[in-house]
Amino acid sequence: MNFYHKLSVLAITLAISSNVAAHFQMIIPSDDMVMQTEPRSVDLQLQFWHPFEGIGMPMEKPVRYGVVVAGVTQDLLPTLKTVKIKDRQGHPFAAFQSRYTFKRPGNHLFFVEPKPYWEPAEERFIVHYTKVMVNAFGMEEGWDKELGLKTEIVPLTRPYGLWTNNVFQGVVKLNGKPVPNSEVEVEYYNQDGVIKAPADPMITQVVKTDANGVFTYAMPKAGWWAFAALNEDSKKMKHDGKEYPVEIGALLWVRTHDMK
Amino acid sequence: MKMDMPLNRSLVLAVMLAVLGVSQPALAHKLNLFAYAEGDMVSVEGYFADGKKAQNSAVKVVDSGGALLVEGVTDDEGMYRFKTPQQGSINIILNAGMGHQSEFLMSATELGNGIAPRSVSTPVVTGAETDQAAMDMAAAPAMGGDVEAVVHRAVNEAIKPLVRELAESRQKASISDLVGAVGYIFGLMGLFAFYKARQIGGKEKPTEKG
Repeated sequence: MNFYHKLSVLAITLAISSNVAAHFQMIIPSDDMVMQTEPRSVDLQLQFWHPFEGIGMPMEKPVRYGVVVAGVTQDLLPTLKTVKIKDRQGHPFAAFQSRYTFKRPGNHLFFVEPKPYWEPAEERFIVHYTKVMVNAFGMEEGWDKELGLKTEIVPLTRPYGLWTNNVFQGVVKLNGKPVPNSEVEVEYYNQDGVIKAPADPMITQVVKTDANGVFTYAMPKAGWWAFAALNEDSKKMKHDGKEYPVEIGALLWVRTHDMK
Repeated sequence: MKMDMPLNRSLVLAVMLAVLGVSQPALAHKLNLFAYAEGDMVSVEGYFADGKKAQNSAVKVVDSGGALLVEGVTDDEGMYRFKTPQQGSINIILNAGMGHQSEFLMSATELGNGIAPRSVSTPVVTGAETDQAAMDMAAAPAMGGDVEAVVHRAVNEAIKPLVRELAESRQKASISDLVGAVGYIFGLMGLFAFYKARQIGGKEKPTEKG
């Protein structure tokens, strides 16, 4: 094995390993269930991240950001504030924060449609339609409602108030129709970096939807979990005059709580 | 006929059990109570976890000493409204019968103490309209007593241009761009090295044999 051999192996290894991490658009609220005796506000953080490894990517101001309460959509774009947050390697990235004050009981479905993200390593755009539900004051009606996003995970399991080890089920929809055999990536928000992956495949868990577009996953640890159903858009987008595919993701964040 | 009798009886029993079974889940849901001050009125909303409204339920409002201030009954939407008492904190007790009782403590600040939101029209009785009013209220800037939030917002508004400028200047050459560039260099080097290695390999083979 000569020098060039070694160099080519090194280069190929580097090129592969930089692609391992899965991208996830995040909306993490400071609480997933607000009770009568608790403060009436939550802070939400929006970032584009590799949640298990804690590696950041810059996020631009989203196309849409809002909350749906009892079927009424409220635009929350004006509440977004740009912040710089550091990832685990200490690099700062643009992210967003917003504060929301609950006025009424009910399920509050926060959603974001980010600006298409150009990913040079994969030569594609990424758009992750992302949802998270916060329950206010114990009114649980309508947690299973479909929002009508271009692609969306419609929960079959109530997406809050989950114990650790609960099974979570949802239907992956694309243009309102269930997607059979769709790949769903699952990742844990390894916030403080305590969890170490014994091997790379451990970072992102992968399940597929069945013939009805239903996927199932049991979450082994307390904290925030993301489900990302990734499909390719029928339309392409231009970058530097050339057309590239667009990965559209249906993301849903849920939080598990330990039984203690 | 005689043979049918036990069957009929068990059928009746089964139906009775089914009816009881059906009514059971409603009891399993927790009664919730939520109250908010709007203008000079306090609205009380009684509901079960599944969204069912607590209709015709008794509401009692007592002061911090437990003395009764006002009482009434919720409407079809599970709502009950009363004029904000000139008190410190109040406790609202909702009783939906069958052992369902829920309490809600409202502090003096929550009651508004005169700094209630101004631009809000008093909501009408139907559910849809009250929801809309609540949405409008949510969209309007916070007025009622939450001084910290107001200051927070004002400061953020003031420093927004600075933050944006900083964010933009930092983002021009972000780490990911650099990593990307390094990746491309390695990739090209790799291809070159691979090509070179094959060339050398091809040349070396005949010399080994010869």
